[in-house]
Amino acid sequence: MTLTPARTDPTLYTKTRTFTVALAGNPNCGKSTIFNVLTGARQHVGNWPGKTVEKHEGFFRLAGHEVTLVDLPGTYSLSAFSAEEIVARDFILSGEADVVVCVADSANLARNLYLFIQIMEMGVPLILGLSMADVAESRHIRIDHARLSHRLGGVPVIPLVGHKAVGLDALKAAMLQAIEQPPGPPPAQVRLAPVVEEAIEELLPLIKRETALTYRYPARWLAIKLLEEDDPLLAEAAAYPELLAAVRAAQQRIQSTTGEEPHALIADSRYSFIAELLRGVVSRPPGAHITRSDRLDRIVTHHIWGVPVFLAVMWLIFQITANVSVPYINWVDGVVSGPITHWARALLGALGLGGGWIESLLVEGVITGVGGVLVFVPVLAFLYLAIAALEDSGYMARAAFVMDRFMQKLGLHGKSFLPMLVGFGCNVPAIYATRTLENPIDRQITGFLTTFMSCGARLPIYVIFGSAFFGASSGNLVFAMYATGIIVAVLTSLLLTRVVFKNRPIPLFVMELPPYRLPNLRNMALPMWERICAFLRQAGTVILAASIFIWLLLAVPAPGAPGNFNAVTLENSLFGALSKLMAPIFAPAGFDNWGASGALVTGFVAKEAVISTLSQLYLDETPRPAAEAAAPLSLADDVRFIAASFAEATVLTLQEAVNILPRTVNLLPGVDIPPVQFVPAAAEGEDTSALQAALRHAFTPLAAVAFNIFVLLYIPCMATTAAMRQEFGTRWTLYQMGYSLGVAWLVATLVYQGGLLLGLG
Amino acid sequence: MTTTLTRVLQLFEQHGRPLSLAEMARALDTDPDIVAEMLAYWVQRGRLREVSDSSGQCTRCSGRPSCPFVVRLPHRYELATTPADDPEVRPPCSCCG
Repeated sequence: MTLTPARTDPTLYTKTRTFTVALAGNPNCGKSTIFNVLTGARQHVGNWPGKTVEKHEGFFRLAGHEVTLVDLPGTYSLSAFSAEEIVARDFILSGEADVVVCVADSANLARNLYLFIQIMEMGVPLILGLSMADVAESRHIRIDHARLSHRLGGVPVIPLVGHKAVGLDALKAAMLQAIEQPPGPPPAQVRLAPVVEEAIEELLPLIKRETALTYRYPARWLAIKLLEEDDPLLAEAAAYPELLAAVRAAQQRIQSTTGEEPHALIADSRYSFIAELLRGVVSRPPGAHITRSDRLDRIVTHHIWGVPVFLAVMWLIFQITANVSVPYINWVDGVVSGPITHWARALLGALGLGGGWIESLLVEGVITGVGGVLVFVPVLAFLYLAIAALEDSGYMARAAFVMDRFMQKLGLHGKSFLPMLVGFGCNVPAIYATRTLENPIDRQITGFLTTFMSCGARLPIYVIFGSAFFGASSGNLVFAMYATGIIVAVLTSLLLTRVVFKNRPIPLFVMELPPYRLPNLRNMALPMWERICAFLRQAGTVILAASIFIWLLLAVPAPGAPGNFNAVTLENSLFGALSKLMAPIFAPAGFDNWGASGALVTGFVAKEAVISTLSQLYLDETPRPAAEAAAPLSLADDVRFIAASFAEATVLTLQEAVNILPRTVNLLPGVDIPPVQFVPAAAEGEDTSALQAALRHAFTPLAAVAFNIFVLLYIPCMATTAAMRQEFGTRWTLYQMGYSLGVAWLVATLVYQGGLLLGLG
Repeated sequence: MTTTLTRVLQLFEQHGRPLSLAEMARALDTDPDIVAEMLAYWVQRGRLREVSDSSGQCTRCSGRPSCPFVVRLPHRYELATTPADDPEVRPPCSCCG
């Protein structure tokens, strides 16, 4: 710490023409904006001596004086708990600054004043800059600056709008006055609890007789910090045994008298001071203390309505995801199975590799398998965009809060929904997210349930089946799958918490709900892009390997079956033989075709592989739709086809987006608004993908639903299983695998058989 | 004599269900902004734990600092009865390559 007597030598204020002003404040309070506006390009960035914390200095002229403006690190207090706090505190105490400008966010004054109060306790020349005054005004928050200044013992209070340079002249004038005139009387002082004030009075003589201490620290401030258990200062005080003993005795007396820890008592006095300070200073119009967010939250986080609202939001998202994305799914499918396949065949032909097993591997293995998964990039893009919109709008926090409460009613820890929410994206991080629960049993139960949350990889399966069998109502199937996952998780949790693990203590948590806001496109696009990239990496690695492996199994004849390598019917292949062994197990659930059971096996590798396997199996046998069969042959025709089909997909996407409204309103009894039709219905009908057509041959609608339920509930993918084993051990993982397989088979069978009984087959 | 700051901790110990910050402020008859400050105070003192959205993420996914599938959620606070997990010792996950 640098020791300068600047503040104690009044002659300096009239003779020196170079001054230092420190800018302090909470993070994100608008301090840096003010720093930039004041200093412009005249800035220097370095490090604080001996610290990794950045030091920002800037320079400007003020009435002929050269002013160095030091932007202190943003901190919430000066309690020496972090490097930033120590840097800010040491600099203010050093006396290098002739005046400290504490910047506080006008719209969150109560939160920002704690730091100001702590600086005020140091007794340094101080100005309070109230930033973002325009934001406060827009929220109808009125601040009586004169009264606030008066209550603070004359500390100048300047309203500021940094980005518009509003209030900077007043701020500069206040700075000038502070640096040209000797310090006046000390500003207002926080009155601490009487027992603390008594302790301070006892400590002051002991501190004042140690000049090494008083030269560096204001005596009262030091007494308070010692009582507050400030570690660095207590370490210094160890050199003064009498002082340290008095501090310890005072702390004990305060605790025994009040039952409160001294630091809590002191901090509470500061909070009370802030509350009293702002009473009558900050005013809002009648009812303004209840914000729009508060009013919305009365419904959205209501203990009864909260869950239905959550389900309604989920339903809307899956309508958007499943229906709006279909035209782009068909477009990608057309490009992959048309021009890309055509180019691959042409390239191999030009290299003299056409017609053999290499072409079969590339086209029927890699392009069909990986392409079958890439087709679903649009659906995931819409899902991730919707999730990002929920996050950015502030609703996702409410969803977690509402569902946490719901979880607690089921005997689960309130925090259990966080991992489950993560599970909607991917089950693997969801398993790791159970680490937020410190109780091992809570973690085990939550990890067990998390796998029933339908991950993003399962969504394409519902979408392809939904659009193949239910057309415009495919969103309902997707929603039903997600809801089924939640219901099975709830029932399983009841089983685990009421039967297996009983009488566990459930601790409380408090959640800070952010205000609602309109989602920002940039905030939504970035996480969507990151998630899509992660999905594409998966497609480029695991799915590619799985596709090649499946192709190999399909190319090798089963023992005793007719055919040769790459010249064998699918049914006689090794894959066909293995799948046929399992197929009868699924007969009660309605999907005992060997292709479906084979896809379920590869689904254990990664859920995306279900679609790639179905593509490899069925597309080999099914004639392509007309649009595909008539795929153009020249490069120019291919490019024209890609562009034209993209344009058509875009128009259809807009049409589907507009039609969400009539579809939603039509759910009301007696309402029947016709959907809009930008593209003739015939053209839309032709756009059915090849896989959808193939699936309609292989499944009945009821069997398709049962298959989707099985995919939803059966054992999670290999990566999730490995994560479970790592987190919860082999035995618990095997329990989960056995349980999920049993539940998946049971629910799928019940749905299929129940549907048959109701005549839905 | 019980300070508001101490009553914040008592609410954590006694209340039966998750609370929003606004609900806690109503229970304490205090400005929500000041209650938020008090929560931060206890976090700094090690009596509460802040559970942020990043608590569950793995840290070595393709060398990136966070998993893209982790949903961003606001801060939650709970009693710090046990030491928080050290993110540095978390194993990698295989969700994104």
